[in-house]
Parts: sequence; structure tokens; C-alpha cells
Amino acid sequence: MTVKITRPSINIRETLDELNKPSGIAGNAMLAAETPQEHRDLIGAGRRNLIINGGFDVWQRGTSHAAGTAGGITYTTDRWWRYGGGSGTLEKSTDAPSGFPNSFYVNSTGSLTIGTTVELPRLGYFPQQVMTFSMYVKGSFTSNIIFNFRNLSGSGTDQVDISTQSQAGFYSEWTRLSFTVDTTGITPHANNTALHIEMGMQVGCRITGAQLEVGSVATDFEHRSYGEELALCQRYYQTLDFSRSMLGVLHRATSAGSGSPYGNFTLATPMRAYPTMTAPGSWGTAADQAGVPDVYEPGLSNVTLRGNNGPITAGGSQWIRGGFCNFDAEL
Amino acid sequence: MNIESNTAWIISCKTQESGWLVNGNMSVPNDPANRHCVNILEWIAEGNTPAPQYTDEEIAANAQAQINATSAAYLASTDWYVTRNSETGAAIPDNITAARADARAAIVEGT
Repeated sequence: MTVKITRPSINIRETLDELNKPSGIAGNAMLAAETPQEHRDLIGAGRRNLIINGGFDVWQRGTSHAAGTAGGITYTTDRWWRYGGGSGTLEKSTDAPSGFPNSFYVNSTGSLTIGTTVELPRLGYFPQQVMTFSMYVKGSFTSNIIFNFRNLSGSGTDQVDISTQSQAGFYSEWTRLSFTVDTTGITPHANNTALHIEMGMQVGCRITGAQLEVGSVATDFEHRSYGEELALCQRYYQTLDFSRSMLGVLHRATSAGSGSPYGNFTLATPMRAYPTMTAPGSWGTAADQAGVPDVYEPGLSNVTLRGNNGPITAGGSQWIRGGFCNFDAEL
Repeated sequence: MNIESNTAWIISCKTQESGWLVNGNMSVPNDPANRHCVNILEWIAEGNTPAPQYTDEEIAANAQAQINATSAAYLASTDWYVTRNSETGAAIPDNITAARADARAAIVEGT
């Protein structure tokens, strides 16, 4: 005897719908996504903040800077430059919104301009896209926030304007500003190296949490670990520490006769360009010490320093000690 | 903000092997991607000329300092002849004695 069993056909999609899971709009969007990239975009996974040190956590140059330093733009907290400012200081502050350890504080007698840059993926190229800029501010902020493409900070040569946003106001409490920045239809000049952001700040003003992200919505600030943020900053500025004894040695090759000693040192992170070096400190000038070093040969990932305490004999060595070698490849 | 003149900060500028020494304490590479290099090239375009790395006096002083270092090293490396002579009476070879005299004569103090 043959037994024939039949089962009704099932529409799986309808069946799932009937389960009536509380997936919501976002859940349905995830279900509808067809590629892993769409999933990532929907949940905002991966890098979001194009601005480095937007939380003002990294201060390799020191945590307090004279506001009105002469000589064009100067960098203060990592990746942020200043211009103008009267007397007083620009400081790292712990007065910050909930969840933020630090802010940038204008403790000066005059207003000033500050700014940062986002390095372009390659010379003269930036994606045409809608982005959102957001930032926490407290105090008197009476300024436009200006976005453009530039060759270098502080120079308008080959500048291509993107947008200017007026965000003037007095913010007695920490307030988050946000607005979109649209590069659709805007092409950088072939010589442009950076998306340049600048803003004026008034006396007593504080800012933190600066973020520029792809998309039309300001998501939560992307907090990165200090080590990660520091490594990002070191592409543009870093320091070799010779402040104590026996941290570095320069040599004179045996075959070279007497003369200056040299030493090659590896940088923590490859830099954006061959860096400028300054060497503040009290460099030792005893017979076994190399005096104030300068750069004999720069590289992106290492650098050859030269001693300047007179010639030494072939095959000899000297300590390099008493200061710091600061390397700057900022935009 | 556009600073039309980015060269005002350059007070002094000397050539170096790989670029320039600016204001006595800043080694700037000859790399157009470096912002300080861009400023120096602008400064040169304005009609300024970097000073040579060393003045004639510095070159002379450096040459003498190298002679001093070489001579001092030779004297140090042959001091054992003198010590041996003092302790055992063994003679110092004439050529060594002459060379040590030349080395001492070549040293100019204060350079």
C-alpha cells in the first residue's frame, strides 16, 4: 500500500512577516541591505571622524601656549593651529561635556583664529559627498566656520571654497553645533593638499568634540584611545626624547677621519613629508657629548642627526643628551 | 584667514646639506611638501639669499679642530711608548718621537 503525504506550500517571506518581530525601520533596513558595506554604513561601523584630535586629548607640544605668538600660524594642541590672540594662553582644559576628558580653552585677552586640516586622500582629490560637521562649544562663539580646500594652512593660494557657516552665539552651557558640509560638485585644485577648517574664537571660549563625518546626520563623537589618536597625530608631529643621559649615541665612522658624529634614528610613525626639526633643550657639550644636533639627512620614517660639538676622532662616539628633537610635517 | 606673507618669521637662513638652518635652530628640509620649505622658497623668491653654511672663519676653525682631534688621537695612541720608556728604559723609535713632535706642534689651543 502506498501512502502519499502532501503538505501545503509555505511562503517563507510571508511567514517571517507574520512573526511580527519588532525589527523597526532600522531593523528592516538591515534586513534589506544587500552588501556587507551597506550593513557597515547603516550601523556606522569603522572610522567616522575625519578630524584628528577633535577631542583635544593630544598635546605633544605642551598643554599651554602663548596666545599671541608672533610669526604666522603656530600649532598648539596637536593638529590645530592658531593665529592672533593677544596676550594670555591657549590651554588644555578639563571643563568638558559629559563623556569628554578635555577641551580647548582660550584663556587670552584677544580673539583669535584656530583651525585644522583633513589631509586629502591624494593631491587634488576629495570625494564629492555630503558630510556633517559637529562640535561642542561653550562661551562666546561669534564666528563663521569656514571650509575650503587649500595647499597649506594659512595660505590662500589655489584655494577652493566649500562653505561658510555662521554659528555665532553665546553658549552658557556646553552645546553641540552641527550642520552639513557638501562637497558635491566641488573639485579641489590640483595643488590642494587639505580640506581646511577654521573658526574664530572669543576670550573664554571652549570647544571640544570636533567631528567631520560622511553623511547628513551627526552621530555620537567617535572617541578613540589616546594611543590611537597619538599615532594619528605623529604623522604630522612627533618628538624624540634625549632629555636624559644615554638615550642616544652619535658615531664617527672609522674610515671617515676626524669630523662630526652622526646617528640614524627611527621615527615612531612615518611622517607626511620630510619634517622640519627643532631641538629645544640644554644640550650637553662635555667632551663626550655632541652639543645641539641638527639634521644631516631627513627621511619620512627615519632621520640622520649630526652632532655640533666640534670634530671627534675617527671611530669615536658621543652621547646626544639634554633636549628633545621635534619633527614637524604639518600641513 | 589668509596670511599673504608667510615669510616674516624667517630672521636668518643658512644652507645645509639637506635644506636650510633657519633662525639658528630649525632644520628645514628641501621638500616642497614641507610647509616651512614652501615659506623659504617664497622668501628666496622675494629676493633674499641664504647665507653659506659656514663662514670662512668657521671653515678655518673647523679644519684646525679636525687637525687638533687627529693629532690628539695620535698622541694618545702612542703614549704607551713613553710609558714603556719611563718604566723599562726601552727606547722610543725615532720616527715615533718625530711624529709626536709634529702632532704636538700641529695642535692649536682654543679652536
